[in-house]
Amino acid sequence: MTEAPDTTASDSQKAPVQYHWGETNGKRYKRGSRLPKKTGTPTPAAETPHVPWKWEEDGYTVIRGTARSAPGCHNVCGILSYVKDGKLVKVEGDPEDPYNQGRLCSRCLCIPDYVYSKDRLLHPMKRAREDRGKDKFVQITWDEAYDIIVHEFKKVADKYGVDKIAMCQGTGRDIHQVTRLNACMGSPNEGVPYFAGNSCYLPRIASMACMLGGSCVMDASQFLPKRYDDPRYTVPEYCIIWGHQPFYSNADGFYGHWILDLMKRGMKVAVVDPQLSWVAAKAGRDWLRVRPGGDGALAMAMLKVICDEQLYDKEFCDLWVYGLDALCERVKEYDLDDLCEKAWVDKEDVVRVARTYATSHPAAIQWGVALDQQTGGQQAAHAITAMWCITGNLDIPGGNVMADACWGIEQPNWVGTWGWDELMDDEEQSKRIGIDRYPMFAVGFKNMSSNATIEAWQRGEIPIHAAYIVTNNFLATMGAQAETQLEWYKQIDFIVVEDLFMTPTMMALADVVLPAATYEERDGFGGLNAYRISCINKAIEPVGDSKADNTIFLELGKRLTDAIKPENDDIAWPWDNVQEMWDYALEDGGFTWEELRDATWKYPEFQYRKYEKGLLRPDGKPGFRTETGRAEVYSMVFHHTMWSGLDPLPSYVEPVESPYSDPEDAKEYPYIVTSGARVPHFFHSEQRQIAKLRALHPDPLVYIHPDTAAKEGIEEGDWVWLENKHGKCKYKASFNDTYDPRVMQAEHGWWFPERTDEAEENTENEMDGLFGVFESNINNLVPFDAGVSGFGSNYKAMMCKIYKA
Amino acid sequence: MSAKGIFVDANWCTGCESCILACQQEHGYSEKEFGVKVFKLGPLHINDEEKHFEYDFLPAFTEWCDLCEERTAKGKKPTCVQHCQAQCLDWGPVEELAKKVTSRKQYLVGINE
Repeated sequence: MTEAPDTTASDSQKAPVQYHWGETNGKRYKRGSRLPKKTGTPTPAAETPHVPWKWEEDGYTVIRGTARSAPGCHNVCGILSYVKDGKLVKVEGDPEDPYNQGRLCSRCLCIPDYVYSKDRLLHPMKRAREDRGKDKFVQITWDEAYDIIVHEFKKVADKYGVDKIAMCQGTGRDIHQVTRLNACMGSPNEGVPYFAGNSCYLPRIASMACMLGGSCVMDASQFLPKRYDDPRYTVPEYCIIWGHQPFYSNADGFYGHWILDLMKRGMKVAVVDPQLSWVAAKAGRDWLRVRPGGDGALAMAMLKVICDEQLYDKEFCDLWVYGLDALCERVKEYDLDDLCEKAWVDKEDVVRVARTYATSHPAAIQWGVALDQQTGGQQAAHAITAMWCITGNLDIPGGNVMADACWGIEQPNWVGTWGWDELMDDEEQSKRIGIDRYPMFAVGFKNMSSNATIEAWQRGEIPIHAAYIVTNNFLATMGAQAETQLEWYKQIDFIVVEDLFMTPTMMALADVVLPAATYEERDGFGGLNAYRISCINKAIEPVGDSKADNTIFLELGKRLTDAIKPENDDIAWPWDNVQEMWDYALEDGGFTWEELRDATWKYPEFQYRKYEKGLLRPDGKPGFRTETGRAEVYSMVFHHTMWSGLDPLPSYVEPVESPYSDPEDAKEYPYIVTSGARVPHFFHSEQRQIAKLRALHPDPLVYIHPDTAAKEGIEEGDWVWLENKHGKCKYKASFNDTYDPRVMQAEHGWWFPERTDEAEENTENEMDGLFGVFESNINNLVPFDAGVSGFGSNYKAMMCKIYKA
Repeated sequence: MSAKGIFVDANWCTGCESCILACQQEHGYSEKEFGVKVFKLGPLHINDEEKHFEYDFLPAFTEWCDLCEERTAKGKKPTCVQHCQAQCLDWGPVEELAKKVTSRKQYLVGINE
């Protein structure tokens, strides 16, 4: 029997910044943090093998490394790069790497085509502001590019304040040092300001952070280098795959085919998805064909079954969970029939899946972005997290486990706060957009709020006067109502875009273009997962003048600091080169970058049931890093911020603009369409210019029930318009009779890089040369509203009508 | 010498199409050439009441497939077999592989006849 947790957790938010000196390779660096300095280093996993990172083989030099990034990806697969005469010939999966075990997806296999694409950007460029949208770029040197950026950012800082400079990112590239780039100048504004509701993973992460003081991930043995064979691991008996297409998306640092590995080892699945995906077909009766936007109702229905039937783990809850009684009272307020009816799922199926989940040990939930892309998604995430807490599937083998920064290394951490406390004072930090409006952003979560930014634009204000857009093609990917947003962004005084190809966003908005390099052209290490740290090893010299994102940040960061906040000169970017920067970043792990390269990957010793062992809290006591020290299904963070409308307990919030919240509009827009139907060959808006990948999926598709199509006079392969009150877009119809006839799914991220003539000849009309980005753009239909939390807009639950184009 | 071939366990093929790209890259093929192609079967409504669907992805091999002679001569697996994310492909002498075929979703193609 384990001791119950202490209930006096220290509040790291209010702790003063503590500075200390770190030492790496004989150099001393000033560091600062509000968290206490960790003592000792984690124990490495004993099974970590020692493998060479470079060798000669049949006339090739083979370089072992990690595939992240560019291109965008959320994984850190082990790869072998085959190089001949300085040229990358092919890439293979590394059979010795426990992560992907020799496998590789189509995007990585195609890397040589990507690296040597004729469309790669080779040089920095500039363009006069009045020529935005027109192909009038002029090649410049890196020095000139840096000089312009420093000059323009300084101008904005002097005129409007440094907080009006925003670092705007996307997803999937190893660019988390960008938080240091804004912090070094004293601007707290970094995030995805065009992405309504910050609608990707952050709603779930923030919900988990408010409940658990950290976040959880499904345990597919990825923390253990021996993987499924490790005796400490248990294959889950049952797994609910919720709003997630694991095999094609590999989201959130989770290699999707681990799910398949577990199914081969006996794991049964339930699938919550409007689409009969391949894995949904494997779930049989446990495929729950949820209404897009109905996930919150379904989650509360399941939670109600578990609570009402007392299927929770009473002993576990008594020791480690806060709020079970309140939760049991809360679910009594709901009617099960009503919830199931709103979710469009049979009650019998809901009850069976809830019972099976609660009575299987261990059981896991692997969830996806669908939960982040609906108003009410944050509340649904709260309910689902409560499911694995109260059933005792929290931090156990084969359950959902607490995942802290790997090796205690903060730099690649998911919440991206590198430099936050040591480079900015309280006054500067207080100018983060949205922390007053949406309190969830104030509680340990350092992004700017997209919706607070959008609301400012809507009021006619200019919340951003300079933008550094890196890894993002938001006109094609995450920008809700992108045409409206383009008009807003055109008001920004100065815009840098850093990417690998001339994207529509770059063509529309960039004053300075910075060409980034792929993972084959740079050194680094793979972050964004909690399991292990692995080395990115440069295989070839960068193509053209392109540079690694991280190198650009280091070089530009020094200059920006010196020009805008010189008092940070000593501590912001003290490194002579990127390798020194890595050594510093890896310091908490107790090894240097070269030592990491020699090992290729390093797993720390992973511990289950960390709450029993005092491994989750800074004070070393058992329990969770929360106010009550317990896993809070009744969240004290939400309790203290109830004034904003946040609810301490799980709830069901119907999305805006749905058949239930807006029945009048439903008469004109009778269907529900989701965005982001996944294609294995594209990472969001990338890879459309890679011939082999595009050949496998040439057109933007909308998937529709043939009965609906017949009713609307549409035949398979027809081009159709999807439309609602926000806008319309054009897709090619693909039939599938397993959908609910009221539901359709459209792909996202579409633009047409082959329409270069349009762009190149376009020196007059700024809208004509944007590679057709607004044409097949499902985001035209997305409302901005993200509800009370500021997290989650309806990217996956838009009302619409459909007609032949 | 006995014929060699490829064994497909389509119970597990997820349609990720890694095999297609692996083959193209190994052989220097263009987007119009491929040693393997993946076809979709279904979803067929076997029993709607039970939500029983037949929904499969079926890799088929073309004349461009040479069973990765160069790789296998060096003791490596054919590239499609190695990179298959579902690990649902195998290769070897057809007599050996034939022993693995126990369901209608598993099949065998002889390539080096």
